[in-house]
Amino acid sequence: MWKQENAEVLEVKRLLDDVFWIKFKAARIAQDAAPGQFVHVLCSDHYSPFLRRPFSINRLDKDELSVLFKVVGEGTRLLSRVTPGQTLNLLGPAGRGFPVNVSGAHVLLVAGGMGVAPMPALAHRLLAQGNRVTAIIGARNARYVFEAEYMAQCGAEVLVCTDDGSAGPRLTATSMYRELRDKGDVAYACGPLAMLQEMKQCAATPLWISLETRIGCGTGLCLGCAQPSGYTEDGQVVYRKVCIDGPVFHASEVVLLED
Amino acid sequence: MKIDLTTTLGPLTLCSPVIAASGTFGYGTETGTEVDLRRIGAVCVKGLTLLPRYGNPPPRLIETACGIMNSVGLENPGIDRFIEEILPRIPQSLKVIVNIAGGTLEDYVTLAAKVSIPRVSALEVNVSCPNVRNQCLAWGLDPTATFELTRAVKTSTHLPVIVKLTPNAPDIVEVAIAAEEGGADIVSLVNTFLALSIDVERRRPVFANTFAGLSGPAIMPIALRMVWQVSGAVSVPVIGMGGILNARDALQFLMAGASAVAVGSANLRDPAAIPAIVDGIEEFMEREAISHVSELVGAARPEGPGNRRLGQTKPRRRTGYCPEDEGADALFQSGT
Ligand SMILES: Cc1cc2nc3c(=O)[nH]c(=O)nc-3n(C[C@H](O)[C@H](O)[C@H](O)COP(=O)(O)OP(=O)(O)OC[C@H]3O[C@@H](n4cnc5c(N)ncnc54)[C@H](O)[C@@H]3O)c2cc1C
Ligand SMILES: Cc1cc2nc3c(=O)[nH]c(=O)nc-3n(C[C@H](O)[C@H](O)[C@H](O)COP(=O)(O)O)c2cc1C
Ligand code: FES
Repeated sequence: MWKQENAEVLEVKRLLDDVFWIKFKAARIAQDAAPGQFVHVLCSDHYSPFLRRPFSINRLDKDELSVLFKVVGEGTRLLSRVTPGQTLNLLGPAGRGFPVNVSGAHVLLVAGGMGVAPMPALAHRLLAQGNRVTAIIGARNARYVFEAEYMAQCGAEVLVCTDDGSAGPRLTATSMYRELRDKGDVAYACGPLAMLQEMKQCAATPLWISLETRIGCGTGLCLGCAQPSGYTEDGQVVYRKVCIDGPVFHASEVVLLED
Repeated sequence: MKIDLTTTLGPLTLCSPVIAASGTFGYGTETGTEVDLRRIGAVCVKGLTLLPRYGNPPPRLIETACGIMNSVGLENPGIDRFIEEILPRIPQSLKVIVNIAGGTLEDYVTLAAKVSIPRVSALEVNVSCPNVRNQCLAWGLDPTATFELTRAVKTSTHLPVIVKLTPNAPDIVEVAIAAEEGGADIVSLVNTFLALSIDVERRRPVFANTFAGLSGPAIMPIALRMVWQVSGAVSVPVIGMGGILNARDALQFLMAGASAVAVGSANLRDPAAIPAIVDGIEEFMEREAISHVSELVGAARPEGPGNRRLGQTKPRRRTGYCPEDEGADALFQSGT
């Protein structure tokens, strides 16, 4: 069950012009959190933006958790300006994370762009449970590759690829996955919708994906975060709530419609 | 000083004057122990229909300056599953108001009969949902239709009946009077304002249904004005809502003449918004040496509390509704 907590900002790192990493002290949330869950962050005291903003839990360590994000609008811009010592209201851990009750498996993690955000906590947990972890990180170029070192330190085998070949081969995360897919027992993916769609089409094992639909309340109150999940007998679309049924779904649980 | 937050709305008594508005607090089962439900006067559940509804395609919710627009489309499991599976799970400490929405008069009558069970404290008749392609909003635009619908619902339930008014009616005061004359025990207002957002890259409306409902602080001053007008024109209690974020906002609605308030969009930002608002009202009462909420009701009106019918802002009459009215016509044809 989620909680609300006024979390202290412990550390802020500017990784690129528009990419930031923030570490919070948030004991109540961190203690219960699982990889793939998110925190719903109140970015403004002044109701602008009005709603919270969801971010995947990036790393987890006892009483601490971090988020890794890209500035794309007002909420993320405000978040990028926080300073250590400040407190922010977080709501979490929210949603359903990746299934982590596996052991002795070879797990493939596939991240595209900012989809790498939840992977460090996930890799850490899976490794601690005796799994073998191969993480594929696809990025625009070498500068946009994040968390490769951290995951390697945790013990994951990390494979990087970029759109322009500036780090690793010139490949997308999905095409790299295609080459390795038969080796894994299960795959966990996070990234742009088009990537997830491709992953779903080419997956050779069970596949779990984390979606980034627009979120309102984040707690199941408003039904604002609908994700098509199937059809009724008479052809009506049935939805699931990304904020509490997800954000992580088994690929077969959702219908991914681009656009 | 002992402060009593008990709030009486005709036949309905609540432990606090702040209700969770329909569609913004789920079914009261989602917040677990994280929100102190004992501070909440009642939860008004998400609008229920006879058959399950799957709702509108995404996007269903976007932000605007100081507000949100939604087009959820009344996604709900249908009245039967609600009664069997969800109602028993609502914590006993929380009073339940069931919000019903239908297409035909018969739908409403059947819904009202079905929810007339002990666990339910009142019925809120949603005649004002802008997000479904049927007659729901149309009922609330027209005083005569509202009168007939209210009368029909009243005969099929013993529960207190709240009629939820739409600010999209050409004259909300006329509709409020019609609801009262039809037998409504309480009126609540406002539902969302019909609104539009356009995606300029796609050159299309953002929402599949074209229009969507605007709520949140952006609508508060207009909602407050309507609550003032309706409170002056009807003698049944009024539940005021529209953009309430904090205790000061809630107090404004009470002082405008509402006997209780409902909080909607603020729950999306902070699921514990209502207990905080109730705390704030209590602090205000303490500071101002007010022992009972009813002393605040209508306090800003010229005639003051306890005397509010003297200050009717409108003569009590039901004018004929003119279907040719252009504003109403546009709303009917919007297809939302
Ligand atoms: C469960 C979940 C986890 C997430 N985790 C991360 C994370 O770890 N790191 C990270 O960088 N981001 C993450 N995101 C995305 C992040 O929440 C958004 O980037 C953020 O909310 C944008 O807020 P903003 O106020 O800066 O931008 P806004 O002003 O809200 O949006 C900027 C622009 O993007 C558009 N937009 C915003 N959200 C969406 C959407 N969902 N679909 C389509 N268009 C949209 C807006 O219309 C606008 O044009 C996550 C999202 C979800 C749902
Ligand atoms: C996401 C959302 C869903 C809503 N669903 C319903 C509904 O099912 N039935 C209803 O009568 N009103 C519904 N409403 C309207 C609210 O109950 C309320 O009347 C309106 O939002 C104004 O209050 P606010 O500004 O505090 O949100 C909904 C509002 C929102 C934001
Ligand atoms: S965002 Fe409100 S129900 Fe999911």
